[in-house]
Amino acid sequence: MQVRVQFFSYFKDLTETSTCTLDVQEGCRLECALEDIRSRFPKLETMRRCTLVAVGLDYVAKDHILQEGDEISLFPPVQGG
Amino acid sequence: MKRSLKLTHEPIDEALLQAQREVGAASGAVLSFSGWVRDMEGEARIAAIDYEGYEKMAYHQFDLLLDQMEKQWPIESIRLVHRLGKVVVNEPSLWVEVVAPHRLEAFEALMWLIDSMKLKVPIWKHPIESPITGQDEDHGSSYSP
Repeated sequence: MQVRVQFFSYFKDLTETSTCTLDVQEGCRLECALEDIRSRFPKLETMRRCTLVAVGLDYVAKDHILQEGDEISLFPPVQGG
Repeated sequence: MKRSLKLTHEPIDEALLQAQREVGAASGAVLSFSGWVRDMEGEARIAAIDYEGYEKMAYHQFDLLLDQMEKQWPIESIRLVHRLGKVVVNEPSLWVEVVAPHRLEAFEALMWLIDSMKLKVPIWKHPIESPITGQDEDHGSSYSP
């Protein structure tokens, strides 16, 4: 199944894109998808410890099970306010 | 709790926001806070900050925070405006107003909200450094990188 991935802030520079699609297995957990993303975009590995991840509009745990068409967002710590 | 949230690329008009204020008869505390862009970001002197936001998620995360705030404090209303795009030094990037019965809950809720948004709301700052100009006193020349 396919999920959409989007990057924000300087993650766009690290990946040289703002969005991509990812093919994952049915029942794939988020953490597996993240490993696939990091394999595809190795520069993200250096940001592993400070990467925030959302699925849809919510922060979710790494064992979150993905659904077809889910949108995964990766970004550095937020800085609003 | 009445709530008003706005992410905008337009300048924050604090006078207009104050003129639009509504305070119920049971409320005795009206707090407003505005956060302005300073001229330093870390060690770098800056001219502006370009605020990037994941708008849909930002609105949603703000709503979740306000849901929590409503459960925790007796707030009559909250209004919040956050800039996106380029904001120059000495301009406001954030405006928040909290109306509550008493000052204790108003101050606590406002502080909590600002602290929480810095952890949860997907907005990022891209500092725009000041152009550097200066004089080389030995050679009397000026330079600008």
